[in-house]
Amino acid sequence: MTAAQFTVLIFQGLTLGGLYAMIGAGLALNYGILKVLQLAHGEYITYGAFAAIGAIALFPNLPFPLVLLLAFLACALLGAAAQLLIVERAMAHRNEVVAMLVTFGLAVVLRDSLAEFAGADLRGLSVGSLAQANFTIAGITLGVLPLVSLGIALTSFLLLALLIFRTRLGMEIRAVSDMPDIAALVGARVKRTHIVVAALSAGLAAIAGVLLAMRSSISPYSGLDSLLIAFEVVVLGGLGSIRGVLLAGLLLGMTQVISTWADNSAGLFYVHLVFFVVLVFRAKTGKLQ
Amino acid sequence: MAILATENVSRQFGSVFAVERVDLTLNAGESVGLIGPNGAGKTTLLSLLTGDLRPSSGKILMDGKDVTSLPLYARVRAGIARAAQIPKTFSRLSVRENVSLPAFFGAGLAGDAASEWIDEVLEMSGLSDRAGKQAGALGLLDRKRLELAKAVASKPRVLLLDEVAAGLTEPEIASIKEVILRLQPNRAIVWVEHIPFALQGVCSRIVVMDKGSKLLDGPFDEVWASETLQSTYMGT
Amino acid sequence: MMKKVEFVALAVGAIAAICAAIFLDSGLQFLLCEVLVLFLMAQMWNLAAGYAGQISFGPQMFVGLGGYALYMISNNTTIPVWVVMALVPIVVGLLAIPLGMVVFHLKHAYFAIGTWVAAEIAFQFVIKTPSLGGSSGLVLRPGGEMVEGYPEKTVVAVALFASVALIVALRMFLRSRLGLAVLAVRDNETGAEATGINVRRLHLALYTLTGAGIATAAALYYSTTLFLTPLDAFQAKWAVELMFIVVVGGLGTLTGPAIGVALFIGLREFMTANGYSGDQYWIIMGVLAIAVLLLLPQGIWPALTTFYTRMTRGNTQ
Repeated sequence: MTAAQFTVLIFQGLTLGGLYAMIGAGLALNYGILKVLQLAHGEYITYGAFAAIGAIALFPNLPFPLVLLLAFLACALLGAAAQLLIVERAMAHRNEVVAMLVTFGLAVVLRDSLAEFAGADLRGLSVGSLAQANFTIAGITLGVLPLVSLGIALTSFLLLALLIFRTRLGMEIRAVSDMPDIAALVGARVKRTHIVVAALSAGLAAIAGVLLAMRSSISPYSGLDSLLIAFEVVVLGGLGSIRGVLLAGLLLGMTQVISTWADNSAGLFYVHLVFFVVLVFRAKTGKLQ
Repeated sequence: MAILATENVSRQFGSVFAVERVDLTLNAGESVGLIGPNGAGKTTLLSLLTGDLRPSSGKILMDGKDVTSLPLYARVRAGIARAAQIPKTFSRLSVRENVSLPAFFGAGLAGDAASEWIDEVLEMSGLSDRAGKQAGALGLLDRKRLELAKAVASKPRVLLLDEVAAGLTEPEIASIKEVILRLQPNRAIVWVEHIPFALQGVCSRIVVMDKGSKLLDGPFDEVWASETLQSTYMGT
Repeated sequence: MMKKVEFVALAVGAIAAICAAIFLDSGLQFLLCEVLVLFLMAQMWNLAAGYAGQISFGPQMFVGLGGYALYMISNNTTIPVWVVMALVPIVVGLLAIPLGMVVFHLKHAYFAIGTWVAAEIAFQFVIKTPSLGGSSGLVLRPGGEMVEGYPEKTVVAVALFASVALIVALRMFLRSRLGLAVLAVRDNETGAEATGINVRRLHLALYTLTGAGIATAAALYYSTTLFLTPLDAFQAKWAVELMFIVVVGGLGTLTGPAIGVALFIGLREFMTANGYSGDQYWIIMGVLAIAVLLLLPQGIWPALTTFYTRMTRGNTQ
């Protein structure tokens, strides 16, 4: 392998890792704050992708940032509504498994409603000339699209971190997450915070969905695949840690790129294997709660 | 010979010693009261004895054999049982089923021998008339009795009582004491209690702990009269 | 000890099994096979999740292992298929022990996700391995010969009797000492250990047992389909269906999964017969699951029994 090939490989690993981290970001937020394993997360990702695909089909000249914003808002609204009408009620139940199973029902309803409405075909998001654009540094040619995608992911992470750690809202979210009862006593609006977190988490999923659809194709049934990646990223990152999610995404992205280079029938075999081994090793050495 | 002994046992949580270098020897048939102010490390010491927690350093010996690395269930089978401060009863099972479990799995009984022993334990703990009731439906005193009964049903040679009198009124404490007196023959007891008067008449020996260490260890009356005890309780 | 009613149930089950094999037409037998196989699997998942608290997203691991064990052994040896069927639980059970020892390092959400990923690893491994048929799968050729006749005739009888026998066996198990230990673990895990139960070993035993059970049911199922693809066997669809059936019917009850399967397949057959699409069916199922969880979080069967006791008590008072 030449140095140029190696650089390309690292670049691919970084961009895929950024996408994986983005896929996990919303789930990490949701689990970290609401303590609910959100099984509809994969569907929010798919819905984000389809919102963008639909927007571009209707308004072909819509600028890309607006498409992204539209997908974000659509899913945020969906996430907020689902939290308010369904998940919040299930969270009141003593057994936390009930809330998880409710999101599972929600996932199925969302998945098949989309398939019923939009058809089961695989679709991609066409981004025009951007798809083929590339640039050359020191004799190495890299694509613009993956770079843009990585940029969006990193920016989203930065904004999320700023929101959680630097704003009043973020303080309220952290308070509700740590001690809901005490937070309520000092005036935090617990239910409202839950809804904001659910909206934010679904919105982040939507961005991940747009990035995913730009890179490859997506169908209404892609949710479970996305959910699995999200789970792996979040669990590896240490359930609810923003920086951990970013690192875990990069680890899995790198693993996939390198294993595909070494064995072109690798698929996700090594990604899952790395995840599983790391998880069990950490559990065995007592690093898992 | 000592039935149960700790050698230099410590347990750290982070940089804090909950239990620090404690040597404790318990002889067969002996009843020891373990007292001390809040945070003295009494409950932690019991958890080290049962295997709920592992010591950071030191050894725990039973009949002279090292049991430090034995897990909780294996220590129950070896003859150490604990009645917990907050009763860990199985709320969806009946009182009798609650008592059966340690008789089956702790004491290793089966068939008629098991059911006779279960009847006896229910009788001793005053729960015979409530044997068919769901444990979750019991009041606090009865749940404490059941917790005791569960501990006894595994036929322990060492019985650890963790604040079994806490939260009870004086007449209730008296009735729990009666049960404990009935359980006393042929087994060693370590009784942790905040209310020292409960220990009177049951424990011939008292151990006082403070800040993780053993402060006093001696006959009931001697420790009771000691100035160190007075200052530990009154001074802090 | 077996009670009289259980003995009668077994006898009736045996007679019904023979009748189903003789009198039902082939299409109905095939449907019944599916129902019974799902029931067997759901009951196994229920035993693990509802009684031992092992909520797993990866039962498809055992579906795949069962199917592949059946096909690989049948196709590559001269052992008759029905003997292989009896070997499947042993083979898969032996595989489940080391697997269980690994996944039991994980708890709760980690366990659920870990089992799912383990199933995905097995799936990707099969796809990558040509000697297991790769991604195109395998055709059932016992001893290298094509299957003749209608396997569902035998399978429906076996599955029907097995379903009745399983309920009887589970009832007896829950009355036994070991069953009591399982109920204690469900109530309070550390409390159970403090009575002298080796909780870890009990969990492992249940994991192995339920894994072997799911694998056997899967082997029954795939002996009627005559072909097997990794995509079908290892897909998360199995986890989704079993969760639906058990959760809607009533987690941690023996009757719940039966009600769940009846609803699940009944609604599907009704909707397909009336021209609704598969997506519409799943939407209804999803809504049903949400409604049941919000209104009757214990599931349908426990809600029915509570309602019944309240009614009868109301009458006597």
